[in-house]
Amino acid sequence: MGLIAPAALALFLLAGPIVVLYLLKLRRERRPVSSLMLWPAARASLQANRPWQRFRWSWLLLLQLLILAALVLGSARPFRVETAQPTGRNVLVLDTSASMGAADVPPNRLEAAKREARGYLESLHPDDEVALVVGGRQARVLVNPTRDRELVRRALDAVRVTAEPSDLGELLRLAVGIAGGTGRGRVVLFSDGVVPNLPLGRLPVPLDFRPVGARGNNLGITAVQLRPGPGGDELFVRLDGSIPEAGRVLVRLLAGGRLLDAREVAVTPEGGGAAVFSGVPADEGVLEVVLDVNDDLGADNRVWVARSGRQTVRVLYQGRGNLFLERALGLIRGVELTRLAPDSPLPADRFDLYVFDGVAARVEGAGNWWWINPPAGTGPGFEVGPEVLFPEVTFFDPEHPLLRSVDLGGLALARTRAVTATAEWRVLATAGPTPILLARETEAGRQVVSAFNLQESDFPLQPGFPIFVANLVAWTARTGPASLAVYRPGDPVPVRVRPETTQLKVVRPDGSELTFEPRAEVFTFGQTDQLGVYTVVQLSGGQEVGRSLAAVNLLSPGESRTAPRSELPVVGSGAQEQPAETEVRRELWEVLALAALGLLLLEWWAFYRGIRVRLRLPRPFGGGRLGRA
Amino acid sequence: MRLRDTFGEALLGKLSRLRLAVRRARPGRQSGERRSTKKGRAIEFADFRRYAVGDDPRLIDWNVYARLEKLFVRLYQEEEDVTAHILIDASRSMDWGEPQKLGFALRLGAALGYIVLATADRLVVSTLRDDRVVPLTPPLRGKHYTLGLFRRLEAVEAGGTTRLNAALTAYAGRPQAPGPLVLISDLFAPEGFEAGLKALQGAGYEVTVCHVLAPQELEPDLTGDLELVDVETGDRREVTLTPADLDEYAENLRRWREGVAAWCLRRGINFIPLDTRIPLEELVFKELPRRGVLV
Repeated sequence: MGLIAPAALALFLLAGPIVVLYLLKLRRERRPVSSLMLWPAARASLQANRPWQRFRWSWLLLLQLLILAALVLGSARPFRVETAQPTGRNVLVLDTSASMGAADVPPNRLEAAKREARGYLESLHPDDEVALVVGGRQARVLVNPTRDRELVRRALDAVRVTAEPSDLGELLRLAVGIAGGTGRGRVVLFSDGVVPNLPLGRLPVPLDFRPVGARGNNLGITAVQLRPGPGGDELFVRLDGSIPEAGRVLVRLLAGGRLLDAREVAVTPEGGGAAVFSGVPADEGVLEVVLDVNDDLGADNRVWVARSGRQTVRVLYQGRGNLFLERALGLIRGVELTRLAPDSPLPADRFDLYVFDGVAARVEGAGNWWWINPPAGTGPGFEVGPEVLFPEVTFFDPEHPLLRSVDLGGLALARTRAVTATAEWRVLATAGPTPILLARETEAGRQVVSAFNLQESDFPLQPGFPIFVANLVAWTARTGPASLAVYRPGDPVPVRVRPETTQLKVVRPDGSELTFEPRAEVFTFGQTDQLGVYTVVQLSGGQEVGRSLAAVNLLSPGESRTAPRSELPVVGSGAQEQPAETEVRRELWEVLALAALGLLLLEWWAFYRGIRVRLRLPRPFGGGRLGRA
Repeated sequence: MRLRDTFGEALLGKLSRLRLAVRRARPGRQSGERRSTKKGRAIEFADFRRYAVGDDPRLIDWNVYARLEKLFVRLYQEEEDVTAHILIDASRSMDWGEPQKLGFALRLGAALGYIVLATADRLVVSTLRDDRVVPLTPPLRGKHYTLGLFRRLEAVEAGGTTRLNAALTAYAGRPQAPGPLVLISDLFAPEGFEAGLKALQGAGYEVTVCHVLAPQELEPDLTGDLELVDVETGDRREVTLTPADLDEYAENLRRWREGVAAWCLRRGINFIPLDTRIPLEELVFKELPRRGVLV
């Protein structure tokens, strides 16, 4: 036993004034009565304003002194030393991705998850540490490991649904980092399991998955693409989601709030649906695609397409020629293609994108480049090994900007090269253990390696190929897909800064404005957490010198498929370690506070009901003689 | 207080139709309307007895002699008066309450007194003060004493303490004809009253106790830190009155009254708890007849 704050014992001096109050005599109002026979005698005086009286024993005084003792001892924070096993660290992971806004569990899945998280919090031992990690695409630590439950509750209250797609891998990586440090951590995931990018495998800590969500009843717009057509632009709209049965829905196309066109689209549970609006006027401005459907998730029922002014993207192709690739590049608005023989040196002119197709590239001089089928040898940050025959794609990342709306699952490859890369390269697709598509960002630019020969695969024949090429041009050249600036929540939006621009003003969909001072040729802003149209105004000396638009849409097939999962293809591993016993101080102030409260109630009861001084009260019936009569 | 104002002609007329109930016959002083223990010459036949020398030959029943050839005399129930006693507690504790207990007791005493006088019975009215019984009137008989009785009652003032045992024992020892006795008191006697009542019963009195309490005693409205002063003894008691204390007082009062009532029942004493708020007419024409005090 010991005391953490022994100085508080000085408060025992308060016992003196309490006793003094009992020694003071109470002034009482004098009232005549016909007889004192039936009146109970007074209990001890509580108030005093008269001179001293002789000390009289009082149960109330005893109780009050006991209350004081309990409070003072509690203030001194007594503790006893115990040997105990340290308890675990619980990392609560809350999925805040867009699908958690589905209203199948009222008011929405996130609120249901928060309720469950609060319940889980209550069930924990007081000594358990709790951390809170939330996020969709980007994971954030809201509360570092703490025993302060109120802090966690307040943080939970503040959690809101984001418009981001979910990246469970990112969330779990962060959670494991927090939980795994002590060797006795535990990750508790509150999610609907609607995660397009599921990491596979085992976690190094136990995982407790608490699924939320009741059903999948949602249809959303998952892809849009604008491409030039003979009589105006063509807008391709893809619908997908979790719908219980086939049906027909109405898709409307608006420009500046005015209805341009409408299509009734047949949708099926398996394949979703698609609509093509042709003859869309090629004017600059915002197109809005609205899906008229009553479903659980509203965030994916509306998509904006911002068409900015034309930009020229200069692309240099060096290789033996690839008809499909050149055709795909030619479809992209604003692309200016230059071809170069395989053994020719790079021209001095600067290009926005260099495409090296099966050649030993000299990439040092290039900024943004795409190296297709690099020959065996060593590249910047990667090494190309022997060929692998008939590889099968086992993983691809559909959330990466390069692979949006691109399905590599059915890709057939004749051969690829075994590539090993450093950690700066992000693997976007693998065939078994071998990466087949990698990307990285450096100060020089954005760079992509595809380890297989396009002409030895059916990729160019797939519908996703032109989309992939468009994505690649947009991502590497930081322009947005040519004239179509469509981003996802959280995507950085690049802005080409005019030489005369001194200030950039970004107006967000909710009307809030952000102001920046650009210092580079390409400025990137990342506060794109709201769905809608962002307006970027370039100012020079207060005068507007340029204006561009960027639309941020959910466009996530994974999020639109809101059918909840009850299991995840990721498992935790390992029982929590039994740590060695350590000495811990267990504080006892709660017991003393409770004792003080109990004594206070007893004192109240004693004052009003319980303890009476009967000695001076004459017994009824004439002093007891009646009883003997 | 003017009792003459309280008792108008109409009320007195209604009162004269009531009689004080007497539970057993007892010898009287003058012939009256009550059955006496004496047998003699009256209307109501009582028994036969063998003739003895000295008996009035006029009482011999000749029809019996003709049938039995033996001399029997007829005995008749003698009707005489009874002496009713009214004792009024006039201690200082009775000078309390609203309506005041003593005033209530005097009005009750006046009503009972008039009823007795109106029925050709003898009436003795006394007050109790300290350990003494102060006779208020000599034994009275006849309605014409009504005014005098009222005047004496109006002159009563409260004073002294209550020592019922001593006063009642002294009254029981007086050489006077016992009869129905009505004690009107609040019974606030620290030394008790049981011995006095037993002495009265031993002397042949038929005791009725009218226990008078004021509303302020039945439902006191006191609260807070008080020093209670006994108006009779001057004793003081410090109290901190809470609702719980008032509950305890009510419980004490209830237990006390029930205890006294049970004791009186065992002793054959008619115990009547009264509240000074009861109107006189309701008391006399409903409550007391219901309790068997008046018929």
